[in-house]
Amino acid sequence: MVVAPSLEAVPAIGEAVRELCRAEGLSDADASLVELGIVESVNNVVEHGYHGGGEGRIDVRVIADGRGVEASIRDDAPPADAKVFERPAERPLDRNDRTSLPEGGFGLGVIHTVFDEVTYGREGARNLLTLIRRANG
Amino acid sequence: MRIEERSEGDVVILRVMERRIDARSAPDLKETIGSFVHGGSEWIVLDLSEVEFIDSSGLGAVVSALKLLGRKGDLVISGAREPVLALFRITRMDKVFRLFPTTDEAQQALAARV
Repeated sequence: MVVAPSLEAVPAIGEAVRELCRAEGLSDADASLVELGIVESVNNVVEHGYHGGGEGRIDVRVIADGRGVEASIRDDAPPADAKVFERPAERPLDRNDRTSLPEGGFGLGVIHTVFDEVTYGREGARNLLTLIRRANG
Repeated sequence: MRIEERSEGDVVILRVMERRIDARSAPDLKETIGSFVHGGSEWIVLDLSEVEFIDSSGLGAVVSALKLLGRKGDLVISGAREPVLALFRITRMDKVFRLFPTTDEAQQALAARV
């Protein structure tokens, strides 16, 4: 799918990915997890790459089969620091200290939980995020 | 965002009538729950039984609402389906929020202050 960099476009991507995964034999639970991981990834592109919108496009390609799922997300936003895609450290959560609870910053942890490999790089003038979820992962 | 509200005693039950809670709708959810907290509601059941998908922005809005309560009351979740529960587990927010299978159970727990 090719979409404009807008949060309005994200639900259609998520639903299309979930349906593709189901059609290729993934369980409902796995298909929903892949949808979540793709939605978080595209949200990040829109919110951090494009700062909420603007010119450009986002290309989302997903291949699902018995071996797992491979997704590639390309965009025209300015380059990012590859370090920001590293798996974040687990933060302490104290239910008895509500003021300390995080309200954001969950997305990358979710992406790393859903996908076994998360790789960011450049492809020409574009950003390329590659996500792999192995069937036995 | 469509949310149905009803009260049983001092427990407010907010039923989200949307299939998706995502980055677009999260600010609206945060504002809606916040309006009840600012209005004096302290014991809140958030019924997510109609919700098929929630992303981390939506979860952040729910956390924000819990934080608004400060030391008072509680905000618990009822009726969450598997895709919604999965996000709570992945983010370990299932250790922060009490999750009830049904709204009745959630309401009774809050009414009994347990």
